Amino acid sequence: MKKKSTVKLTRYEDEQELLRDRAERLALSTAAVSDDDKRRRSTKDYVVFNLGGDIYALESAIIKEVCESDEILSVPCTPEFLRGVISVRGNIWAVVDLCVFFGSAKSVALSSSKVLLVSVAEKELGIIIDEVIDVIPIPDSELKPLTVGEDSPTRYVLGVTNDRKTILDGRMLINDESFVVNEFVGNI
Amino acid sequence: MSIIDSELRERLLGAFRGESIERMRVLSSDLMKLEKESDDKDKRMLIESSYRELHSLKGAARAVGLGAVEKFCQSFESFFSVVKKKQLTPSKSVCSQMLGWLDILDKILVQEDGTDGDLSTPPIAMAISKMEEFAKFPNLIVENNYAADLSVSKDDENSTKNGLDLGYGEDGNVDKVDEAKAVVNERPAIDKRSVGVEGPDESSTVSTRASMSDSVRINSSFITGLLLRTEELISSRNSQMARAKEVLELENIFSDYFNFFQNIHEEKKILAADDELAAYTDMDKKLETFSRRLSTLSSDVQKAQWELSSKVDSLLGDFKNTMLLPFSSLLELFPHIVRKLSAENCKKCELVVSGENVRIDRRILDMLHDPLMHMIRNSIDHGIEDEATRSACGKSAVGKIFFAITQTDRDVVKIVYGDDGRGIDSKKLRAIAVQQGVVSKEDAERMDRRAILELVFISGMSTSEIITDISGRGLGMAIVRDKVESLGGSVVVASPKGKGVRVVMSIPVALTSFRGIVVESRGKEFVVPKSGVRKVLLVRQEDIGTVGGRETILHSGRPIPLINLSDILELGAVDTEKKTFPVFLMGRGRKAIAISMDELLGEQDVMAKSLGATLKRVRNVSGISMLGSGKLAPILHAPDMIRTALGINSGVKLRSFSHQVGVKEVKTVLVAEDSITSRMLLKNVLEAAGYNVVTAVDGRDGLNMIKQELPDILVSDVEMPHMDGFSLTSEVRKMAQGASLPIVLVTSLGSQQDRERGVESGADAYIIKSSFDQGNLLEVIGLLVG
Repeated sequence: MKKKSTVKLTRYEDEQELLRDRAERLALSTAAVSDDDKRRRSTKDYVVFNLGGDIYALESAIIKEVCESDEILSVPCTPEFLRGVISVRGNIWAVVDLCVFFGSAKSVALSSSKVLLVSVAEKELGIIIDEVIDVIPIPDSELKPLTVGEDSPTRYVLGVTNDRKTILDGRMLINDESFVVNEFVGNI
Repeated sequence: MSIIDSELRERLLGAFRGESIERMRVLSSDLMKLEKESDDKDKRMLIESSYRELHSLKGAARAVGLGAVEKFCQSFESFFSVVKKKQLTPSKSVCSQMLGWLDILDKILVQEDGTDGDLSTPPIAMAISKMEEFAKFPNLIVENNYAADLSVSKDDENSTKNGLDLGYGEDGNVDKVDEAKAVVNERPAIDKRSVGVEGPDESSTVSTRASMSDSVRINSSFITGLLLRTEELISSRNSQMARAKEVLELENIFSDYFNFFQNIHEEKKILAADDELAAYTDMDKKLETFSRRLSTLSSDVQKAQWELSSKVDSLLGDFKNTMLLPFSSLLELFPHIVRKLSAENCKKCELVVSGENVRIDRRILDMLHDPLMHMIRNSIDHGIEDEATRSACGKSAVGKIFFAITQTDRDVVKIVYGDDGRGIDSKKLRAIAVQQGVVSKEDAERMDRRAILELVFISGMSTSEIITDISGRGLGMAIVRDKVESLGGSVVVASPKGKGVRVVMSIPVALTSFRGIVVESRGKEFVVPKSGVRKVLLVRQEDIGTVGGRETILHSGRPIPLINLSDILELGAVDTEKKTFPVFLMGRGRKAIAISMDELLGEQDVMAKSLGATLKRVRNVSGISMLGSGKLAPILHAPDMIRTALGINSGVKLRSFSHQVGVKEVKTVLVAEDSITSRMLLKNVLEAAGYNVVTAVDGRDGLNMIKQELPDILVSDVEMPHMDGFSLTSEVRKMAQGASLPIVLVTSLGSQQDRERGVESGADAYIIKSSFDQGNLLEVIGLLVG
């Protein structure tokens, strides 16, 4: 009688052991998953596009859509970098030409009508491009930093990939106050 | 909170912010009413409503993890639940304490930190313990002389005040006591306010809220989005209309052809051979069938178009109605603000409102919030005198601020805002305008009182410290005008001497659509709001005269400057010579202007879309509209056009005009130069480029001037008597406020050594006179002062 109960107890202990074992194994595997997750997180999807012959990329998470607009309406009395406005389902988006904004010698074809709609939080900005080339994942480790400069394009560059894609910092771009037009007519 | 990713949290917080503002608004108006309400049933209703608002606010705060807000609401709520359960009527002193608590809650909401630590600051902790005390001893709530009974505080006959002193005073925080006193001092004014605002409607407001349980809360931006998409239907309708017209035209043309054919057929019946006639008869039958089908299609299309039209119109009408809100929803905010501000300024003010039931587009209401707030601030800060001054002038001790809202027209609402303070000092305003270079001395002397009052709208003056001192009306008035004008309205200010200020704003009821004239200039289409155009004329080339080298036309015997639209919009010069062209007369009196364009395309209902956040404010453009053709066109900003045109006409260079980004701010350049010729040259060059120029005759003079008033940039010669440019630079750099002053040295000393010396002394730029051309210097200055 007594012996039986001991056996039972041992078996119980074994079970406990087994459970603990399993728990540990499960715990380990979660840790492994989260490691994996981290690695995956450091790779982001980018939309690669062509701006006047140069290849740029923006993180796809902030790109709401790529649209082809029938008409980009130019707005008088606005800075040169502002290509105009488009209406997307009744909402007006400002469209900028980054080539002009960066002051680069190249420019987006005047006939182009493809616009990247970039949106972060409440801010929205349309960027006119020549062509979307691809959407690809790029690991953070592949971004090589540019030599730091104060000129306008490098400020917005996260890094350059080995095949010379310039990765832009979309969040910095969209939050840049220089895009905001807030002009008054002088007082007479 | 870490589980919820930051973006979601941000969104939640945004939603919470909106909700809390709304709930706080209801709470503050409820509590204010509760304080003076006499009818028991209404009181119950108010308590019930406050209780519910607090409860919901608590729940919302918990959802976004704002522990402090949640806890505070919890205590507040349990206080109310006692009041509610025992059917108590809070005494006056308790009511004002509740208002105090609400202010505290408001502060916690603003901090929005969400940690529990917040609650440990003395006033908050005091308030919470007070609430708990009340909840434990409900009889204290009804006792009017609660605080006096406990006689903690010193020497006062005002029981209300004692109540508050107790609330804050026990921890010995003197500031808080003062604040509490200030709040109380202003109390009687609020009571009067309530009488003025609420009047007989009061009970109805309360009961509406109680029976609102079948309404749904929808995000306002969602509704606006829906409305925008509904508005898109207008262009569908318009293109449908165009198509229906086209079909009708085709039908008419075809019936002409058919008639023609039938005539031939009749002739053939007599003349033609049998087989030929058979072919004609066959064709006749086919064409008849076709004609019938075509006319059926045409009438179907007509019918469809009418149906679509009426559906779109009624849908839009209903939608526009949902966008209309009574003014009271905006004005509800103000009594509390007036109370707070006047307490801060130790003045007594009452707010009187009439016409709060007039309904207006909610987007307009949103946009009116800031301007109205500015005006209230101005009135309380500077307009309303303190009590002693008021009594001395024979005015009642309590300052009066009023809103009178009337719907003057089907589509126009007039808002008259005013106070009975000291008004605008026009002499001082004139002096400052001259001093700031806004108008020349001669012009200023010629201006009448009305023209001078107009100066308050000038934005360059508004930010200035000096303006704030002249009864402050400069501040924010530019914003007021800009907002009102961008809504398509107008604003006038009047100020009978010493009798306060009146600001009259006329504002359209709905943003959604208005009559616009579609015009063409340089091949592009624009919409000009019809309200901004006084008259449309057709002008012949030979009608144009020249006065002082500028083109004018004669209208009612008066020469009016003529400007081309493409010049206003910077579209480049017009090259086509036209014999006649349409001209708009805009503006009045001295500001009358004629604007010419290439083509007049017609008049239509247009709907305005805002330019979006990136294009906050574009010169001469107020929005975008979709034309009937489905194409987009900019809506022009009439007052801006007039201002731009007057600027071009008066010979102000278009360039300097077009680059005033943001609030107009003239940079001051200090020029230190011993040679009078060089000094004058520099002064002229810089002034032409739009800078305000101050000159000094040598380094020592320059240094003294910098000590007096810091310029935005210093341009200095190197070789000067008394103190040279290098020493001046290093002296300035030694000054605390001079460390970041941009300094440009202009010199003929071109050696490497000198250049290095310049850098050593701390100059930002070193320009050699021999290589010195205007462009270079202006570029450097532009770069340095931004």
